[in-house]
Amino acid sequence: MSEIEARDIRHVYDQGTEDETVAIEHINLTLEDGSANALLGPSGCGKTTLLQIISGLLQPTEGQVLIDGEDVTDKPPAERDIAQVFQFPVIYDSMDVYGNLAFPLRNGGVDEAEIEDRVHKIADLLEIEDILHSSPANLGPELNQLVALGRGIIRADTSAILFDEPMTDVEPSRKLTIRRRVKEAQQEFGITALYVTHDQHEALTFAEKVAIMKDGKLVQYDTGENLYQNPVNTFIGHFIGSPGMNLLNCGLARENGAAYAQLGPHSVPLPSGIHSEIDSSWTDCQVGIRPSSIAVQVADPKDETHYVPATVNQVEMLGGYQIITATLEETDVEVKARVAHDFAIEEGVNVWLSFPPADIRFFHQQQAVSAA
Amino acid sequence: MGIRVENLRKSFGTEQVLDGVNIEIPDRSFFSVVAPTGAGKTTLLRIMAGIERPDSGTVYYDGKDMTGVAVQDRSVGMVYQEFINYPSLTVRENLASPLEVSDENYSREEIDRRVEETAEMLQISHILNNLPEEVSGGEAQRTAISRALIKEPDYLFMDEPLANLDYKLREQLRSDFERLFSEQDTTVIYATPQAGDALAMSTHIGFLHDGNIIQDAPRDEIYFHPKFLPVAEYLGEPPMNVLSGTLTEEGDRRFFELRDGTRISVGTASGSFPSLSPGRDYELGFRPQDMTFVRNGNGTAVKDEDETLIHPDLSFVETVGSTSTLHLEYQGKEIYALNSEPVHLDPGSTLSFALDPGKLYVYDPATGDLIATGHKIPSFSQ
Repeated sequence: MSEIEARDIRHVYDQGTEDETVAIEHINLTLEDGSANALLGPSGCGKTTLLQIISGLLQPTEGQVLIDGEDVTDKPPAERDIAQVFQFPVIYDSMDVYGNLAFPLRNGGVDEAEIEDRVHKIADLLEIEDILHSSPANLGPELNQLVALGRGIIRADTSAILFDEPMTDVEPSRKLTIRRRVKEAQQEFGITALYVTHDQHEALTFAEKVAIMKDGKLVQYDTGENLYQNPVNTFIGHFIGSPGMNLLNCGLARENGAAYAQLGPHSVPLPSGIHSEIDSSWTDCQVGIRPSSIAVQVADPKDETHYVPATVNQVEMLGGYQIITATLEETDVEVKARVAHDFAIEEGVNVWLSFPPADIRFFHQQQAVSAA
Repeated sequence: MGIRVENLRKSFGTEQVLDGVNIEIPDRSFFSVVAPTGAGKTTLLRIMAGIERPDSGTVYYDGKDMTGVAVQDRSVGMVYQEFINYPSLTVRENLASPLEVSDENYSREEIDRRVEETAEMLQISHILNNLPEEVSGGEAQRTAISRALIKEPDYLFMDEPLANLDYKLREQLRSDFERLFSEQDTTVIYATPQAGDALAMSTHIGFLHDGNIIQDAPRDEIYFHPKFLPVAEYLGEPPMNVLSGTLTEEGDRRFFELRDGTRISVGTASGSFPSLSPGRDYELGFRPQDMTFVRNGNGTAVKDEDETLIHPDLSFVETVGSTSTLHLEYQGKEIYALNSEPVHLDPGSTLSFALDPGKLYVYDPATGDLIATGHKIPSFSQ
């Protein structure tokens, strides 16, 4: 297993023609040996281009790919020992599952006793022992995807494994199970992994660190917790979380040195750590807060301060919980807040919202302002 | 303008896809047909819309038998998973086309007015002069929906329209649909395998199982009172947990005794579940978000004085944002717990969860019918 590094990568399609487009640029990304990573971004952000450059299917216009410090930019895919699992599993119907798993080892001239040992180890881990002698044609896409994964990681000298939207063809109700086995296999073998997806849930559950791309650039490469708690800009705040962070254009107010975000007539205290970082003359400011951080109550809090009155205009049941959308009184500012699945609430009801200062994030010109 | 379906049957070869389906879709409702892929949702939608004929059975629109009426003679719009727009026409021309080919001779002014109005409603006014290939996936799907809506049909059929979209767009459109259709006169019939999408948008949900709609009800009713185990186990993310147990009695107190001997106190005989019989086996359902994680200092199992606890082993944690989904192994089954705080614990630990007897669902193990639950359907009254 290996460390994978993409250094100063830039890629331009149709260079020198009138269709010239810069797909990705300024990409620096190091995947630690044995780490689980995800590459996440909206369609067209350049994540597939980067994946192909790492696997060797595409030569970057500029920059290098290094495996354990060795420059492999000019090496073809076969010489990089990087396994790939694609959207739709590539499986050989002419062999049974055992034959499919054994295929890369037989190609490498490994002796049959070791092959058998290795196949059973992988099959046990992926919980596919019972189908080893079945024909892939009779299995569903989920099982085939597990077989494809098994084949990807069966060689002992695999340096890394890349997944390209591997859950596309998997039935929603089976995704949880499949995801878990993929994750367990990655951990068990300590394989450096990069999982490309547009689904944040898959990314955050699979990876220790997630690289988020937008418009060809790497915006933030961080742990799930940091992406969620400390987004570097409003794009990450919105993109991570479902629904994303509330990002509200706000004014600024000062009182006794403390700073407040002003939403119409309502003052929301900002975390004390950033008071000194804020310039009162700033415009284009945004205050951010997660729907799960907002406390919602239906009873009038009376004399308690910093509860903001609002009117509920939408209630969405999301299975695990409900999301309410409420308009702050005397403004047209809409805020989403999360409440329990059996919290009694309906459209038109007046509620009081509180915004705990510790959970407030502040952005100037869409960029996070953090404590010094 | 509701739809009623009676005893609908349809087979393809030897496969009985629909086996006596009955549904009642209320006027102006957003009705989702939910089932796993391949269960016959699309067939049911196509028959209700008039694109396909049933082998037998009747489809009524607003009380009128429409079974033999061709789709073009019905007031229906269709939206598919693959958004279908004319690639050589601008978004504006795409929207106008159903009106222009209509027999009803819409005036130019009327067409323009409807295009503008519909585009505004679906928030695509800014791309009216673009070609479909120049707009994003979400905008293309909004264009397809606008085309289906522009004739102001009484009924709009949508077959997994969000399936091909990025999750952020899904999230946005899901929220938009809920708002849009709660203000429209259109009755929406929506097919999806995604329980989450159906719960977020629908006013009513019907669950298709083995060729039948086994329960159709207002959204909160089917979610909080799933009448059958397959409905309970599907309509939730993650799904409802189900364990087998026997009702036992000790003096005045009653317990569910699970297969491993663990007892869950459910109060007195006159209390939570008076209709159940001691000595009988039941299936116990409980939602992952109704399990209370009870922890001591080091996060391990705690002593159970009230007898409301189960002690599963942690096999896996998925944390997204502030919510952790705990995958647990209990009595040889995989169960889930949802915790609204991130959990940092190692797999293999034995954990404790309290089960509130008021939030249990009790099912008949033979028939899968709901026998009792303490869960109320939340209703708001100020």
